[in-house]
Amino acid sequence: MKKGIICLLIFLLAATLPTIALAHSLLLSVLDNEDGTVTVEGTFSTGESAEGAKIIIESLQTGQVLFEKRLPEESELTINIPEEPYQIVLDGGPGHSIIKPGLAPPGGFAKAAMENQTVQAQLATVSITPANPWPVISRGAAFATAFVLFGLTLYFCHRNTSKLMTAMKKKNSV
Amino acid sequence: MNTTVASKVSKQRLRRVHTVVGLPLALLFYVILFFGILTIFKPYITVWEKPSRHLAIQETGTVSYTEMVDSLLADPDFPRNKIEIQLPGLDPTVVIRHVFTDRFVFDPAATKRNTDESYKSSFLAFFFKKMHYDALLKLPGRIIFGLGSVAILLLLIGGIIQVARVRYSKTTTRSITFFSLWHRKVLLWLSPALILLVWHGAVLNLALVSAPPMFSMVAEDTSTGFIEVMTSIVRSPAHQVKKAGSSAEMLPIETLMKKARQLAPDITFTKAYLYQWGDANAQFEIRGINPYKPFTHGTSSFPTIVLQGVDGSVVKQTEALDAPWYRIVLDAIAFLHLLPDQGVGVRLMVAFFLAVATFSLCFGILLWLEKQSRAFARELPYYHWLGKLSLAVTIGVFPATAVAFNLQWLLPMELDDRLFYQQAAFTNVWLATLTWAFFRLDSIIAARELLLLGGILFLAAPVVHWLSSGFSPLALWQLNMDTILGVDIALILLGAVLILAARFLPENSQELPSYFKLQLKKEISV
Repeated sequence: MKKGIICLLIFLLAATLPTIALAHSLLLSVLDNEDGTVTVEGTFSTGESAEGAKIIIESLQTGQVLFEKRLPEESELTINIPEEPYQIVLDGGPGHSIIKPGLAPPGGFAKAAMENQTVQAQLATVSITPANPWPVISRGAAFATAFVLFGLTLYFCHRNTSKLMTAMKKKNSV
Repeated sequence: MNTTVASKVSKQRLRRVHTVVGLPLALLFYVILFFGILTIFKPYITVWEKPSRHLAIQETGTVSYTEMVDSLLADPDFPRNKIEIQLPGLDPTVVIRHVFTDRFVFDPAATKRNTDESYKSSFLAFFFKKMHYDALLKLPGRIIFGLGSVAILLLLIGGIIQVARVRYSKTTTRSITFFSLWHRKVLLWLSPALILLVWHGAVLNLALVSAPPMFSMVAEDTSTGFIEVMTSIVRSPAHQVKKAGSSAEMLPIETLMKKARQLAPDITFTKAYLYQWGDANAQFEIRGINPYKPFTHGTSSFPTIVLQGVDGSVVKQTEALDAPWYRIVLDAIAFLHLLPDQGVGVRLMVAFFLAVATFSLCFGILLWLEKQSRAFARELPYYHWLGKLSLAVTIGVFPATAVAFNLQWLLPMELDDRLFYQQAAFTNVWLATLTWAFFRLDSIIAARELLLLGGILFLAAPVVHWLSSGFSPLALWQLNMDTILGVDIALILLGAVLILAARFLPENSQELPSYFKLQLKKEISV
């Protein structure tokens, strides 16, 4: 029995591994051309082209969109590497985005050190607004209700079993 | 051991294996079947649940698609290749989307864009579908349901062997023989269809999950993934159109659709695709189903017509049986399970037979419980945890589902976490029916109460819908909203059936024997 459970657990663990290969999913590849540009290619896991998917270059320092364009028929774009740290987003529509960190140009990012201080200063002035507690309360209430119901089920099971046992003993003694 | 004894022992083993495997899996199979029956009507429930779909159904020929597409193409950033247009049918709206953009929903009568409810605010039909194949447990759920489906397959085949080898009583004067007869008879008649359905379900859940690692192990060329290879076999190659590079005037989409209808009058068209729209080489593809050739297409292959966008000349036309034989076989296998673009008649028929199979499944559980209860006196209610759990799963699911239907229109669409409240209420109501089943000593009384509650809640759901949506049944009828009115009528009928079923059951378990003309003096009592 124990061996069976262990085997099942191993199987379930192994079965979680191919999740990436399971769905018809978008793939993003980034190639450093070593001339200050990168080539970004988007495809589907089925091999189909991802023409029309949007490539967005976002600054990691300011959050600004530095570059934005939809993939053409060839499904790839060659983009100049920005002077600041960035990330590459392949926007495949709602809920389907792939993000990869941007590759640095030869010689590193020019704007990284200077702007870091500005970002730190900006972060320090951001006020922290209190989070809305309602979702936590409602989830807690729902799970608490479920536990209470389950507890009541066990209680009624015990109570009714005792009742029936008493009734059976009485019947047998008569 | 002589052959008579050996034969008896093997028959005994067959029955015991069937019982031991069948009891735990019966409830899982019931859940799969129950939500499977609801999923059969998913296209109707999807329309019923959304305010944006409360529109009059328009004839496809009167809709101005060109205007709708042009309003989206006015944005220069909108992709122009492989724009999908979902034609109005059960869903009265025109839905235009690209795989890399949001869905745009249009009111076909006014050609104006509606706000579409996202999955975060309206998820009811899809929720029932998820309950059917993974109970919202994602990958572990798919594996559990898949493994369960394999075991159910073995039960079905084992059951057929059992019926062939064991001589069963044909009388129905006792509860045990009644349950046994109808459990065997119905499932035997429906076994070919059920075996096909369960096998296909096991493939979708389990085979697709376990195939990728096996594929990686055996494939010599690892540059191509499993999904790519599978798609190349299962699906016809995606239609590709190369850009000419120069722009050109397109024929109106309505003209192209009219031409397609003239070329293939038998086809019910469901979707259209625009390739490189606005380019000199633009093409228009329209696909659908041939209702006169079921079991031949719909999942892997479709009848399609491809026309040039500039002048409407035919580029390609394929019929239902033009696909390779292996895709036709795949479609035939998948047809009963997926019912691709089928009408209400086919869906009702399949749902009816599955409902009968579900009843028959419950008789199997009742059979075992009746046999166990023979050891106890009839004067005391039989109190067994499996009986109570079965009651909650098989009958308690009705009030829980009815609550989900009611909350769909009770909760405001703009409410944050709307889905959570709906699904939490569904789960807690179902759990509460388990608590009630254990609270009541007598299961018959609990069953009557739960059926009555479910019936009342199902009767209330359409009323809540009419009040909340602002559409009365008469307005739905007059405005030609047949799909939505049909769902309301179905909910009312289901509620009425549940209330009648509650009335049909005996008052308590003491009266059960009279239903089956049981001879009390022959019962074993402790």
